[in-house]
Amino acid sequence: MSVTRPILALCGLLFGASFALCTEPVRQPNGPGKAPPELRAGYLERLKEQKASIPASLPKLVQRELAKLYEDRTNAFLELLDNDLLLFDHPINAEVERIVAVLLEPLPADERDIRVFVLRDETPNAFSIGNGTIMFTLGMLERVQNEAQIAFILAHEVAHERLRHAETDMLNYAQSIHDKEFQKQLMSAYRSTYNKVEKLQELLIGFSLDKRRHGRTHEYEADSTGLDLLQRTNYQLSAAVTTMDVLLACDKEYFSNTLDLHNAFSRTGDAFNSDWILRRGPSLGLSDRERGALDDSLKTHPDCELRREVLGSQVANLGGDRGVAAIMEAERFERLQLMARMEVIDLYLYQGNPARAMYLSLRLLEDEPENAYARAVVGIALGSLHHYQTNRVVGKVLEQPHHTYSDSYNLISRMLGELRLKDLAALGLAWMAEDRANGTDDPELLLALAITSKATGSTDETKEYADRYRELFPEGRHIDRLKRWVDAPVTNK
Amino acid sequence: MRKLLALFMLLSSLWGMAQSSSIEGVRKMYLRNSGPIQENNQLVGYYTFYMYDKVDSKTNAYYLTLTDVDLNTVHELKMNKPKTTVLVEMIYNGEVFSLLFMDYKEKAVSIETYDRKAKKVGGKVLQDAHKWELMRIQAAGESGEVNESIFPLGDHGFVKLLTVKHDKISYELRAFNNDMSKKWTYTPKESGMMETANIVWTSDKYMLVTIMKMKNVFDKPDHAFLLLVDTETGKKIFETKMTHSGNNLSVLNGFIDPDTEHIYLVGEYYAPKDNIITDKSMGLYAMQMDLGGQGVMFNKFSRDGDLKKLAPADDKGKQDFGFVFFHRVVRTKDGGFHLIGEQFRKTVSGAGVATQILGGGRSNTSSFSLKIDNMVVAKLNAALELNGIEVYEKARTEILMPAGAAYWSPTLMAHYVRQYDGFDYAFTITDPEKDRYFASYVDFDRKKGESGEKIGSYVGTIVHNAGTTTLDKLPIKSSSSAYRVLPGKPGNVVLLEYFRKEKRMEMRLEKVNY
Repeated sequence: MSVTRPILALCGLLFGASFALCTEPVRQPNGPGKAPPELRAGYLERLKEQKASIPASLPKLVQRELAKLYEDRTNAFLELLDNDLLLFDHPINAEVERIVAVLLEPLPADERDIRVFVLRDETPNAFSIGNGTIMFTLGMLERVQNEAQIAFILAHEVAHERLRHAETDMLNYAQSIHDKEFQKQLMSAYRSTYNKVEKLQELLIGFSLDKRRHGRTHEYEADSTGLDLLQRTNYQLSAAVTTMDVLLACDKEYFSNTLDLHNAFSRTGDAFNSDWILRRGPSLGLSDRERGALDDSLKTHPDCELRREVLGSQVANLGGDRGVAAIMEAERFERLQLMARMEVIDLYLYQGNPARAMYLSLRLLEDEPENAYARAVVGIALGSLHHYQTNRVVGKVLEQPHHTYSDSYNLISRMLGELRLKDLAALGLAWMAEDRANGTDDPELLLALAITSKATGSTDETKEYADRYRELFPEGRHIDRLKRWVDAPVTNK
Repeated sequence: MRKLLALFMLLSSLWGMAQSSSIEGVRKMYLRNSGPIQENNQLVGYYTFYMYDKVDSKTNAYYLTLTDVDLNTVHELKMNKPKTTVLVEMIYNGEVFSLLFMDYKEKAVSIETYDRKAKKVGGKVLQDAHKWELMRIQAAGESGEVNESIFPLGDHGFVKLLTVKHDKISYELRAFNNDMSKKWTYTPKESGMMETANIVWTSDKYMLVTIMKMKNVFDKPDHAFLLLVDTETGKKIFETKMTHSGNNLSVLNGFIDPDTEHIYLVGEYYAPKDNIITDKSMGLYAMQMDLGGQGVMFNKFSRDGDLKKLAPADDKGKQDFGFVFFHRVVRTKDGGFHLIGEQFRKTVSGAGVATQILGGGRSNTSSFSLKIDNMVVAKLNAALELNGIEVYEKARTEILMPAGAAYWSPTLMAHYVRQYDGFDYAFTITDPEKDRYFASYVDFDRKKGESGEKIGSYVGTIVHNAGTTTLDKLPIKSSSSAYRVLPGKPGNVVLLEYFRKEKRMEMRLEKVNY
């Protein structure tokens, strides 16, 4: 995973990758891919080195705390790995690594030991966890407008690494938590007979405020150092400023229009019932939870508008904007964003959130009506919900409406909450009717046909599609899903 | 120290997921301190009241958490209360939440109102609450059907039914504005009798109340009275004795149709000289009445004729309607009524007899018990004619009766069991469009399945949808210290679980299959 390879060789390799990207249509997501076998061992080895590097001059308790923090960090990383939340062997990885390589290229060789991972997460985010490790989410890739913005975001994270912010934070935390005065206060609060929780909460708030204050200072430093890294490349400097607009927009719904469910389910004809979306019982109808001044003060990052202002001045001080918005072609960038959307859908589908997978697929079908993968996911989601509902566990997988979700997504949640078993079966059958009639050898469509057939009780058809999948894809990704959703007997009906 | 640090870092006490809601740091809670919030007879959310800290030797700090029907937390409110405080009831009238508290040590009842942003609007201590009021509160179970004594009056106030003592024990209806200022008080004229009341239905215009009048605590009233009050002014519109053609009538449920402004009542009818508390009813009646208290339509259905004829036959081919306690009357979209109840019968209890013998006659229990059997739905059409009776089998529950109950009638025992929330019936949720209802009960099935596995408890839900009625059985799988089934938005039930060891409370939605 190292990106310290010579940049030219990397670009040469990526030329091939980009060519493939331009010619091959994006049919389906790759899924998490396989992590390099040496990755886990490498991180465990690094953990040993980190523990060994803890200064003996520190108090023993602080040393122990630091060692525990290093362990927690490594375990958190390995947990991402074990839960298939990192993307490997994917064109997106290649592009993100290439951009980091461009940023690191002007630096001395001993400062280039930084690894970037793509996190399979819809939340737009990027962060450094220290120890030379940076995370960049699929959601962030979906939101950015050009390659230069990716470059600035990564430059900002590289800056955190170069400035050793995570390491400093951990040391500060270990020292603060074992500070004699703080320990005295903590024990006093813990031993209190009265107001124990309040006293502990007060301590926690004071502690958090101090931590967040440092956090905000770090962000300004990382912006400034990141801009410095950016100016050593050919990327557009104004990307630093426009990235702040992207981050500001991250709090808003990604899709600007309201999803028209009648239109989205038009292929199902009469199987779609308007009552499902019109029914809406009363609820408390309170406004969103009011965030007080304290909540704002606990934010780790300063306001993006302030950061934009500061970065704007810094760009002006550097002589104004220059550079290019992208090295890769616009078409390739758009295809990467499409891949990111499909990988996010894949994540939700297989990690047990059929409602979100269905919603994002319907959104994708708005842009690409012929996208077979998105079509299949809607069928799979309907079929899997039928399976969960039959087995009386749908309450554990079906997301309910929430004030932080978009109106369109809440509409889908409400609709799925209204669907009875027979509605799910009929809607799934109607949704897949065309593919059933035309026949298919597409793996996701075969899974969708098998599971929607099972929902209708059609045993022969279910077996036919499941057998076809096993015949064509004996090592396919959906073998396990067929076992779980199609072969398994119904329990707790 | 590690444990202490972990505790410190995990102190952020509240979090919520979309399909479930979880609260950490719940040091002490009673399941009765949580429940549904209704507005205009529709479920709008839930409240949870729990202790999280000690303030001093006499005071605890509590959180009141409000969640919407999707289990999202919408407000949290911290309040300090005497440690002997319980939250008894809570209603929402669209503008304010009204909370009825009782301090069981000080024997004080108080009401506080909070607006939609959880800001306190008003408060009042009811100094003159009679000990019966306190007993009623203490005895009240965990009924999923809310509102025992406070009811909304539109969105501009609410009414509290209070047991008071003047010359004799009586009742008062005290209406308050949202800020707890007095709106009006209805005090019945001295009748020389003990009077107890039960609010049947309220709106911003009218209130229906049933009243029992007794000479003394040992007296059993022959008949009930129906009182209609103008809720704008607190003036009585009429009070009428509930009889028809010589038959005494009990009122199980009722409401006023907002379109026709006619009163609809259902209940049981009794032989002319029979007592509505202690005697066996002759059957059911349904009645339509105008706002002057004059009958417009009346139909009765005899237990041994109409009801028996429609009752499903048992394994031996025997048809018997038996005794049924009706918990709820639902108006359906076609204008008909569905009466949801539970069969019961009085029996001699083996356990009760054994306790009597072992206790040498000094036992707190009697030799009798009430056996609670199947669920029953009696269906009436818009013309108040009986259309059919459906019986839904469930496991039998046996409730041991207290000492002195040997001479009680089965109906009186059923009222006693209802007071202590001993029936298996839990709640009924209706759809705003009135085309669906979901009547749920908890079935403690001790039988074993075909392969010998224990069936265990489940939530049974009688679903009426688009004219047809079906039954769903949702197994309860819980590893919690205690759980409670609450109504969910239409088509769902909510399972509230408390994990004592982890100091955690969870609520989750489960869908009903129909």
